[in-house]
Amino acid sequence: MTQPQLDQLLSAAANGDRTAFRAIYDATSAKLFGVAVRILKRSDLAEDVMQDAYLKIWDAAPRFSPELGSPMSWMVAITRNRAIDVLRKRTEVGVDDQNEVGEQRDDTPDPYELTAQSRDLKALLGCMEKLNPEQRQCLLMAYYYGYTHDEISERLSTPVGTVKSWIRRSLARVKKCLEDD
Amino acid sequence: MTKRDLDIFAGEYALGTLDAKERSEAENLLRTDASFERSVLEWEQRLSPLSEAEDAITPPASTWVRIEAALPAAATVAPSRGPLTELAGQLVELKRSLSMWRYASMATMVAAVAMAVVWLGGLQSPFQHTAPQEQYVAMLKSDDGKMGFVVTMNMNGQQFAIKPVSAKEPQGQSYELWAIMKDKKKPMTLGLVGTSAYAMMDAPAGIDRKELDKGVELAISMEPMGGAPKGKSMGPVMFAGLLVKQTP
Repeated sequence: MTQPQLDQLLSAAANGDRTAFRAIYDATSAKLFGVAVRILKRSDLAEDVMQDAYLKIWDAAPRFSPELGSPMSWMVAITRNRAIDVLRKRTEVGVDDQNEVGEQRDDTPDPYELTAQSRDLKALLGCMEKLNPEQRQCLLMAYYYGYTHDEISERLSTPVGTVKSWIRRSLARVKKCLEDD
Repeated sequence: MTKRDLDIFAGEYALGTLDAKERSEAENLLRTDASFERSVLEWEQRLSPLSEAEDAITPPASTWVRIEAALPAAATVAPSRGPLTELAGQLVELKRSLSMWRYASMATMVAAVAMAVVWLGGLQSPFQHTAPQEQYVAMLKSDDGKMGFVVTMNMNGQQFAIKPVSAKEPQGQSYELWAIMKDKKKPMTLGLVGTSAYAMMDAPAGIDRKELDKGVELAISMEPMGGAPKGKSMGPVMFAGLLVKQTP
């Protein structure tokens, strides 16, 4: 589905059109579910997140404006934020789903290997290429799994202070690079 | 924090590295500081192309059922009985007049009703004849936790929608849906259910709001072709779940 189509459906949904909303769901749910499953590693929790995310999308659709960016980015962000909130809450109360830590398979998506990349992705990857590999790795791990600074520091066996400053510096550099582009 | 620090903080929030405490700080800022909100939106737009590399995984069919059930009832003054609703009504009417146990004809009816419902489905949720209302939803799962069917029942227990999720059609046998009420000894049959299409059905008298509030469990048993003889379940329970209230 193209972005103008999604824009149009979203504005129809903003006016209470459920058919349009269902079409949005059909076009986007597999991607958003993939995002939530990656972060939460559990399909039932991811399903809860989907429910919250789509209800939020329905509620917030009237406030979405294409000037804010692409509708897909907006929906991905809603889903990621919800998934990360759930993840943090579980960690906070000490529910530990991380027994996979030991056998953590390295299946972090590699956007560089993607054959069809959008213009925005190409630009972003171009800028991330200028970071050193560990810093780039930090950003990707954080983005795909929603890891905290602490968790990244554990996984990369790097002091948390270093991770924090890597990430901050990387973000600043990526932003500057995209703006200069 | 300086403006620049705040922008990086927004970036960390969008990236997802903040811990629970920091996230709630960021969320407070999001509510109170328009320029911070702007920064977060910009960061989300900058980073979200990374999701292009994310695997697409089709969510279980129950996901949409749950979302739809939780959507607020349409506030717009949709005609309460448009031509499509009328048609669905007639089909339900017609179905009722058929013998419950003539499975072959019923399957056809279920398919026809399902078609009408699918057709209507996009326009309004199954129970949109009246004002916004709560509904009851049951996820019918098998012993090993596999979701077989999702049932949505309106508040008064007169109508319900059943959506097969992953159940397979039993060979030479029929699935029959039962309601098990708190104070009643015998389960009450709600009829045979197919596994191929979403169907909307009328519930027999006896299930009402009072019963629903007390807690009604639904179960699907495997019965001889055509249904349990004399309305008494003989077969094993394949799927079961509790009807739970969902507020719009």
